[in-house]
Amino acid sequence: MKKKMKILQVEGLSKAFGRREVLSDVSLEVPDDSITVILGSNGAGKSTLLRCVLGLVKPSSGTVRVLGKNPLKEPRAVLEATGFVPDHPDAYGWMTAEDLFYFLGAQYPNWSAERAVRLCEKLSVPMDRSFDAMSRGEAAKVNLAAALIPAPRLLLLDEPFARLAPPVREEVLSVFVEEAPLPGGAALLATHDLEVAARVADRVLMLEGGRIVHDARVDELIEAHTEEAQLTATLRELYPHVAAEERREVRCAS
Amino acid sequence: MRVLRVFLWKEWREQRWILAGLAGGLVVAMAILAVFLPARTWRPGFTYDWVVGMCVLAALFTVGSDLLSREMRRERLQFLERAPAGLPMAFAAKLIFFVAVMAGAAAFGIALAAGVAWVRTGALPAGFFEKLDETAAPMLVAGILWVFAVSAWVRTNAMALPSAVLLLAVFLLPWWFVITTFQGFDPGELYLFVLLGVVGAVVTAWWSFVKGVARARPRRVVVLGGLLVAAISFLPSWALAAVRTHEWSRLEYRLGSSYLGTGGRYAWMNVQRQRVRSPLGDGTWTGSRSTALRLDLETGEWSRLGTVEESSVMADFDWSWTYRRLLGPGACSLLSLHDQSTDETIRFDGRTGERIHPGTSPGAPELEVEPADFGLEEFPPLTRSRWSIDRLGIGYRLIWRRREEASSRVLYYDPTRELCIDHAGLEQAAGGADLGWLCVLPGRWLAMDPEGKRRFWLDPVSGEREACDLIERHERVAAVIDDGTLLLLTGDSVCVADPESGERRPIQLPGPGGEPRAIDDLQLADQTHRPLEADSPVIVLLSFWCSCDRTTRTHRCGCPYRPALLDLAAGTIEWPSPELGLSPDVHVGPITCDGPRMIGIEDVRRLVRYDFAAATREVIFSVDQLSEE
Repeated sequence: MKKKMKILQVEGLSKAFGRREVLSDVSLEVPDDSITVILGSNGAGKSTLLRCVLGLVKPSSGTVRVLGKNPLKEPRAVLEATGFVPDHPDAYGWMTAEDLFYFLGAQYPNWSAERAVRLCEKLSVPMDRSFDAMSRGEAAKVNLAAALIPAPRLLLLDEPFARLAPPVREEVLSVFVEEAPLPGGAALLATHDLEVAARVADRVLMLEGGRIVHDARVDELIEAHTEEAQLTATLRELYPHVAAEERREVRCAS
Repeated sequence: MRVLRVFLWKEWREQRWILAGLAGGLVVAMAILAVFLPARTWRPGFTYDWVVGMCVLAALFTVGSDLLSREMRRERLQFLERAPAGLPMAFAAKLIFFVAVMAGAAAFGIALAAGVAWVRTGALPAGFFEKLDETAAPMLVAGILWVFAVSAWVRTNAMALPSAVLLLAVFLLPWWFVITTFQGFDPGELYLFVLLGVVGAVVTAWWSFVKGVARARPRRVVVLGGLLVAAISFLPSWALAAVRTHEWSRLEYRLGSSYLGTGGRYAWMNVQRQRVRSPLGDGTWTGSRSTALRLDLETGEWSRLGTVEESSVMADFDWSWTYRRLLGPGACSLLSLHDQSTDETIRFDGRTGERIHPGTSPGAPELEVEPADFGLEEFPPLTRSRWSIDRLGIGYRLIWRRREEASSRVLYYDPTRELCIDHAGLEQAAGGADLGWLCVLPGRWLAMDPEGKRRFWLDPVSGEREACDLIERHERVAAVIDDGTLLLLTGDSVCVADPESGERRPIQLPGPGGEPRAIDDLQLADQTHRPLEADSPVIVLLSFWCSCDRTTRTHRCGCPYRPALLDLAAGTIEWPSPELGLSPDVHVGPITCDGPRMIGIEDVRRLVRYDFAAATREVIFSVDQLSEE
């Protein structure tokens, strides 16, 4: 049996903004060929954890290794190997998808024009519309495409499907399921959408108050609790706080 | 390079419409100015200084200060930060873009200014780079870069310019102190500090944008850290300012220009502290600070007249002062004190030492030498305000310069024949003779030929010229004696020459210690230019060559002028008696003389009264008294 390679290792990670501790002693490992979902309600520390992994936030304590590299010391190497889909589109408003790909393409050694064309067709990305003129769904598609084109070893997604119209959400989610993770790579997805988690996760981590309170493999959950088709309901039972957040989200979207 | 090009492309995409609007706005503004301002306005000074300045300032305000602050304002930092090339490449692109925009704005301004000037005046103004101020331009470049740096700390670009001005005002305070105290930096120091300022601005901008804002640091960390980096870049200049201040506090006072009041009771002195040479500069700066003092020569009491190190006193250069300098004993009837701290000028009565209150007319000062004695009846009082006396040579020669609207009229007065000769007519009559050197003697004038090589006798009335064989080319007229003879300096000897008989009588000149030495210069201690009295001894100042080869004089020695007593009747020059206690190496500068007596400044530290005949020396004032205070 092939030994799993650790794409991401986080040990004893803590982060406080002033007196407020957002992450507390978080440890996790993400092996290759896996999708790990971090579940948690708003303010649980999901986004901070992803930013620590990217090196955008300096941890108060603990270590992060992406492919064995410290993102604070070797940021370029880590960023070249990582794709990131933000919760809000944060590219410049004047940029079109074409502009964004031109801007990012020069910076990623693995950027592939062919992959770009294929993914844009698959996601129906509007190439000549600026971010200011895009809908949230279109922006999410562009951001997912931009994250996937350089074939990252680690794909980080921060609530990528939140507040998307159901058809768009389905379209984006389908592409994600088809494309991620790349062979030899891994994905870490932060969400409070239990249905998404049930569809894509190999492993689920429950983050609450900055701590990982539950860590379970999906196949173990299925074996212990229910059938695969009812996994979403099971997760809702297991994580009522997240389920409440999910319901609130649905009400807002409708 | 490809990555940098992409980041530059991003800046261009963000700023291109602003740049286009800026260019259009400047063209419109310039067109309006071209229409409404008269053609004479478009001279090089206005054209370049104002138009180029306006273009650069507009570009700085709209684009230059926006490049960094825009990223803060729009909270796009995270997008840039997570791109693999990240903030360092974004900063490099922004800096290059900033420099390009500023240079482009200057070039655009030059072209615009030249174009408008050409349209309005029909000619292109003189070259821009010829008009460029070599000091101000580098400082402006550094200042502009500080606006760029500070723009990384503010939320809107409108705040960048005033914030940068505030920062520089605070950080340059030590510079201001040095500039006001020491009259500026040496050019070498200035360029070094400008270079440090440029590097400091770039490093501060880099730290603030790349390190400061990274990893979600709060803005106060960015500002405080940036201020720290900026302060470090200013440290060398602050250190030099501190060194200067420390050295300054240890400097000794020196006695500078001093004046004797009419009647001889009071002396006015400027005590100075001169700036020390900088290890970085070429040492050519001699800035000094002066404190004005008044000294009672009878009691020895002295008092400060103005603010310490910001006041200076000088003789009031009205007609009477010039007149006295030329013909009288050289005492001042009026003195002006200028206080730099208050920018106030106070006048003092030279005789009483008292202040003349504003609004009080000092009136015509009493003259110790009557102008009528020299045939100048018409001089005072009717024309005194319109004429001045000047000295061009030696002896009785005077120049009256009439201050008329456009030009001055120069008259030469010969009191021995009561002649008043117009300069223009004289020059024509003398066949274009060079009258830059002229000596009026009883009965005839001695002038210099146009080549400045030989002297000739000149009749100012007829214009007749006659070669003067009395004085050799290498000889110099040191003084005129009241019996019509001349004291000539020949290089290694001094003699009295009689123009009438052509007789030359050598003056015995023993060198210090008895050995003969080549004389460099002889000056009269009495600076009033009165002719010497043939039958009374006078004090002269001598300096010597220190060379063995008298013909080449290749090795010059830095000997100070030494006072000696010239006795024309005996035909001797005598060194002061050792009993006088005057060291041969000490420099003595005379203030006033009366035969063998003199008041002078000794070693730029002491005001001393000498009597060479009686071999007495009395220290009236010493700068040590200031230090002991």
